[in-house]
Amino acid sequence: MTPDALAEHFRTELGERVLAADVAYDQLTVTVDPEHFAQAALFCKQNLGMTFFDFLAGVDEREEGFSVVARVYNHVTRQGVLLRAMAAGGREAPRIPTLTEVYRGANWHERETYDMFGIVFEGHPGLLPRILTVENFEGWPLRKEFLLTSREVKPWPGAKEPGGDDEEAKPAASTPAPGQDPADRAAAAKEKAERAKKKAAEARARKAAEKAAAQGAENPAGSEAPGSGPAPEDKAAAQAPADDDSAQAPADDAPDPGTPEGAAEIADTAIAKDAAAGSTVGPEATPGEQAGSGEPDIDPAEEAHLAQGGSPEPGGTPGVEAEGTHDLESSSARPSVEGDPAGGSGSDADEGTDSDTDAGDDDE
Amino acid sequence: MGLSDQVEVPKPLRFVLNWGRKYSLWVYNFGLACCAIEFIAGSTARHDFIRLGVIPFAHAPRQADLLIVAGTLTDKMAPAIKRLYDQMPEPKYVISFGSCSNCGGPYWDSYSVTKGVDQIIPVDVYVPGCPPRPEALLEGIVHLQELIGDESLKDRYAERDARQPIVVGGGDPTAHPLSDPM
Repeated sequence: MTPDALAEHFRTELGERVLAADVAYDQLTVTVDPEHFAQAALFCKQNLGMTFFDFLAGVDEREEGFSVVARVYNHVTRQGVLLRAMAAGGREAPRIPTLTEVYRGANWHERETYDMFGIVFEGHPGLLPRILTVENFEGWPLRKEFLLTSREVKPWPGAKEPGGDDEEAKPAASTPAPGQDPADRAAAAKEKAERAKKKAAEARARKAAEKAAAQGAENPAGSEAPGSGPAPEDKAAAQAPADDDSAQAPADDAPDPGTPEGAAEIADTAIAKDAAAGSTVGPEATPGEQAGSGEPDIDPAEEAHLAQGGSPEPGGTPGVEAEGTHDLESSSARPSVEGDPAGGSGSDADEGTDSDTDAGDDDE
Repeated sequence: MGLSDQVEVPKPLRFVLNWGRKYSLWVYNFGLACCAIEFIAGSTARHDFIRLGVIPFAHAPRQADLLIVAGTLTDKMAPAIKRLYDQMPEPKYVISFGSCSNCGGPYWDSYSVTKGVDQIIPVDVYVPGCPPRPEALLEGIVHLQELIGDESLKDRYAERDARQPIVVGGGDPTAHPLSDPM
């Protein structure tokens, strides 16, 4: 059967459920009514012998919402068809019937499509726990409006299109997406990065001050407590402009040859990475507070910890929720999904019981 | 650990102990991407890191001294690597092999890639490259052996205890994972 004959076969057998049947490059694409998506798949499997489920994926169709494509194939006749259906519910709550009852292999493909686009497959045995992203991941990464926060802090280095220059590429980076204001987010992210840099500079200065104090303070100003006054003539102040609260130890000018500068560098990169990844640096990074207080309070203990390259915040690991965390309960973005197996995510996050289980394992 | 983390071992004895440790590194290959292939190349006849005393036959993390993270670490995988690291006995060492595990590499702007394995576990040696050649791994191993040869276990343990634990995924590490209703 040629693809054109196959298209005709679809039209006669499925009637109005087929919205379109196009042949391009000898490949047939059948667009069906979303209500009858599973029915069309069943027709392919039973009547056309297309027992091989190739793949299923989502497509962001911008204003129109999302569509789902699935390819099924007959190994004997070597004929395949691309089934296509527009998900109902628009951009807000896209949903489409599941194919898992026809092809069991569709299960993980649909879970992936849910993770990436937020398309809910009705009747799926369990879209949760998340198959690809971390459990508390916020947003749908393959939607067009999803912004990579790292990209906002540091634009793509170089041209995006072959032969294009940066001036053309830059506005394209902030193409307005539905429901988002990239300019605001970009500004916020930049501000965050600035703050992180400032914080790192402070940590560096404080470290130098501690060092000088420890070495008997050849220069009396070197042991000066941080926060007592500005020292505009030194180099560190130049590194952190508009930073009048932090003390800049003159010891920074003449670093002790025996001490490694690496620790401060690590602190710098750890925070910078963190900011680039878009996760909050600390409690003071919330937008509400930053308007009130120009200078975030910094706990000396935390800072010393930072200077040693530790995690900026003991309670949170940067990078793990690189795009931000959110509360599962309070999230309205997460559609309710039937058949969520309770406690199914146990293997992902049971760090807390490690020591207990380890001891038990050894005894066995 | 017992004595070794409280008492400084006398220098001649320390030399002998470190010498023994640095040429018997049972390595666990945490292969996550193409870098793992370079690691395998490093273990085979042409490059042969076994001649340096690196033994790639650790049955499990509990039998390993050295963890080599080779490849792209994703946020989803991060809890697993933390757990694996916690299972290794002290003294334990980590080599971050390749740009992805060093800093995220080409996935610097990804929504899912952890920007460096050092955000999860402490790293002793970083080997840059995308992927690094096996020779680079050999050099990283030699650097690690120098580090082991010179170190004092007492100091290493003191440093480790001072280190703040990193909690993967945030939250309270002592809470039961299933107590959080999803």
